Amino acid sequence: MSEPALRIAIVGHTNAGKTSLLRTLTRQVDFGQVSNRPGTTRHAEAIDLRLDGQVAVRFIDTPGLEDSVALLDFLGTLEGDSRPERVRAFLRGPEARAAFEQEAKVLRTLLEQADAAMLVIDTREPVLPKYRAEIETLTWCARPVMPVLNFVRDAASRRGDWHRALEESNLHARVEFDVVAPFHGAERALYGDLATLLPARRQQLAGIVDALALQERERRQAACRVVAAGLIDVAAMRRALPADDFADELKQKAFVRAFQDDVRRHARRAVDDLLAVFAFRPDDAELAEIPQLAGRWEDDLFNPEVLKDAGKRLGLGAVIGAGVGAVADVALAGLSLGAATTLGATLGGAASGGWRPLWRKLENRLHGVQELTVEDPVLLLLADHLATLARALAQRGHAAQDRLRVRGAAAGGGGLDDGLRACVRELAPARGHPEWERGTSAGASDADRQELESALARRLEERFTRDG
Amino acid sequence: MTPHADPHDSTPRTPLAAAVVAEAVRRIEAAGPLDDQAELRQAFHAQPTRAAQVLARAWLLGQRLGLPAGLARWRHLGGWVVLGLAVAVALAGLGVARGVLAPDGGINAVAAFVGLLGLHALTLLAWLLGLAWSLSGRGGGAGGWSLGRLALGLAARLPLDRGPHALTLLRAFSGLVQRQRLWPWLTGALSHAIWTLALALTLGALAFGFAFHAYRLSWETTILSADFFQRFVQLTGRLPAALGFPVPDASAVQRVGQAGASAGADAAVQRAWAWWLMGCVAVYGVLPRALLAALSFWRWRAGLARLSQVDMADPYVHRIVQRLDALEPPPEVIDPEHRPDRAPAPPALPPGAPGTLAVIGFELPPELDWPPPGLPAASGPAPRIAGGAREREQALGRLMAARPASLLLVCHAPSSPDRGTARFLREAAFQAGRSALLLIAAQSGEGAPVPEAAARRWRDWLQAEDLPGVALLDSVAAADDWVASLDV
Repeated sequence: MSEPALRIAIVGHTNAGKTSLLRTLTRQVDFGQVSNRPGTTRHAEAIDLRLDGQVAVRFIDTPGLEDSVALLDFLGTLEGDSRPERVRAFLRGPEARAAFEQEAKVLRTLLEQADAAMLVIDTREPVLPKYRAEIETLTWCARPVMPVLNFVRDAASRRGDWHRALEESNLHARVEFDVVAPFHGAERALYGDLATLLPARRQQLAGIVDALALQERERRQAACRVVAAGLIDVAAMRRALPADDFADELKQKAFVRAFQDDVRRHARRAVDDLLAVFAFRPDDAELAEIPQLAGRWEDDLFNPEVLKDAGKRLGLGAVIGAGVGAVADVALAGLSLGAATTLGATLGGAASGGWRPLWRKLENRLHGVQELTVEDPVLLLLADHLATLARALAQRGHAAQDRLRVRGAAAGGGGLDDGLRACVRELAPARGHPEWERGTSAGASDADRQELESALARRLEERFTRDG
Repeated sequence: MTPHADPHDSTPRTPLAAAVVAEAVRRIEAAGPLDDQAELRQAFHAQPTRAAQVLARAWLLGQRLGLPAGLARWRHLGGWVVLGLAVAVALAGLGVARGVLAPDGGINAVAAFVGLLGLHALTLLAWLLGLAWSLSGRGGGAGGWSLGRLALGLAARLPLDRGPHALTLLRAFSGLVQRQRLWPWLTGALSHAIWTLALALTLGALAFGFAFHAYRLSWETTILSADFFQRFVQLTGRLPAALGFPVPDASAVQRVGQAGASAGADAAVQRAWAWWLMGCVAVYGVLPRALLAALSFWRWRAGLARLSQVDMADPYVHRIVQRLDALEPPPEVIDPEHRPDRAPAPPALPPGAPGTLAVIGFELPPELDWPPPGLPAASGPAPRIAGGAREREQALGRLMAARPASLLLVCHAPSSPDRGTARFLREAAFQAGRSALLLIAAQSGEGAPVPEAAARRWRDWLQAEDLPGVALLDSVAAADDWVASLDV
């Protein structure tokens, strides 16, 4: 991009969500200060949207235009041939450093440093005279203004009133953009519509749209690969329990507990990686309310009731609750101790992974060594949770402080699992390769594991794009 | 580990080397991240794009771990192994040629044909099968057994002077090549090149022998017919003939067979037989191998371009890119805050008529009832203003005239207080004995207080705006109490 970066001033009333919009557009969770407190931003601050290291857009965050009624009144008293001249006269005068210091920053930014402005509007507010004054003051600067209607999904939104008000102020372009939970494609629409206001920059904006779409796709792919890698880890888990320890109930319990902890460790690692992919911090307090991050679901992984349900969704209904071994499995909470299912899976895995696993399996049998692996329902639950989390994070704005609509695992119903069921089936080869579990041996970078990982990730991505 | 093996490693950074080192670093980092602050920074400043920066970071880290040197060593070794294999195969080729050119001068032409090209044909078939297997998407790996595969395997297994990360490098290389499905082309380029060399040497030896020795070429058989040999020579000779090689005609084939080697057939027929043999070696041996070597090499080069692409959708790469992003200069404050000194409040005016109450609804949403039920009755009219300049002036003018003892300003709790509100409140409060801000909201039922969070926000704002004298009331009932509190 040889052209100079686009400069866009973000303006709007106090607390309309200017800094939030910037966080979401630049995907930086920690830019500026976002809070409910009025007038949180009191200075003008530049933040760059970089695409592949190059500055594509330079956004300027401005304080709110709080005292617009008085300001417009005051501007009317000033001398000048044109409206921008009057604004300049105001900026030169003493009031720009006194009573209207904050407003002066906004107008100065718009007049001197920006190609266009995005006017962030909280549509939950009634269209009051102060907002009309604000819009009029902005139009005095003779710069293109793109209204960004925020909180349009809120029940109290008055978007109709605002549409009318904007048209009455001769602002006919507008874009709806919920900064906390942006619509799919809202970002694209935002830049696309900006091109109608800045025709000279149309090509540049189209380049930005393309680059952002590419980044979005890459993020989605990365997320799917994280989920796939985590699932393979858990599917590959296999721990041997000597016969003596198996007989000792206490030792057996401790062993199972340690195993469950390892499963949780893998799950948590996947969650952390997902957060990183979407540029959220693991300790983001704001994220704590997402059920997938609260940690409770990790216990659900081994809840017999939940497992039974998941087993039914997997089509294992006949197995669970019928076979003796399978009953023991549910009692062991999704962990199978050398059950026939695992042997079958090992046989399935043996075809693609050599005969050693089966041979080892038989040797263990002879010595009475029991092996602990994870049952399919656990994998299904894990896949469901991680995929749901990935989708929730992909749709979440980087300004979100509350309100997150996550379609819960259960809410989706049986249809949701169609893709996941196939994923779980695809995990079968991993069962024959305990060395594929990351963090235990060097086999994690095995070429076959990577092959499986990409295949699984592709499947997850298909499901992701279909549902998203 | 050999830390700082050679920080100024001068191994050339070819795209392949960069990709292999990056993959090896990634495998090493799978066990835990390396300390890369300096490298990350250096890469960040040296390269323009994120992909190039990721590769540069890996290369710098690799240099610290001595990976490029290891790679160079391995490559060096690989070169020798390929050369050794080439020499061995060439010697075998010469041996075959010598075996064909028997010292007694008699050559069984058709047996010589099979001896010269048989092994070559078998290995070529094996390679083609491996290629088909690999291209069909299955296995994707070894690409069958071939000389190239053998060369790579040998180079990997030779225990000469191994670096600490030799195995990682090897796995990185093979993983990378496998992922791009380049094995058949790499092994193909190597083995076809070796075979081309060997067959060319054989051809040279044949040419030398035929040029300076007199040989008697014939064919012998116990179970086959003369027609078979005639057809065989005709079929095999078709392609060489198209390229200008003389081929013995049908009668010559019959004659040589019947007369046997002893007949001493005429020189022209013998020359045609010799040319036919050399033509077959050239056309069925050297030519396809050379073409396949060129094809494999071309595919391998094309694949190299893909090899050096950074997979930006890889979570590992994603993480590095994010850390590179973090190195960008932080957002810059371009117009810092200067809080103007607030003008000192003018001296309070004498209070107005005792017991009077003024009520103003300020910037309330239209759907709220006015006045709110249960609100203490005002002494005069209770205007509701949307906040326009004229309305404000009128309201202030009325206040100035009435000078109420108490002023109740009613605001919408969920809205954000701003400095416009502050300006009006300050000016209005100046006209009254005492003032209070009553918050109402549509959601809170009649008389119920507004949510605590909203009340706190307004309270904090009153503090920040230096309006502590204004009481904050969060319900109509509280407003009643406040109004009554003065009357008592």
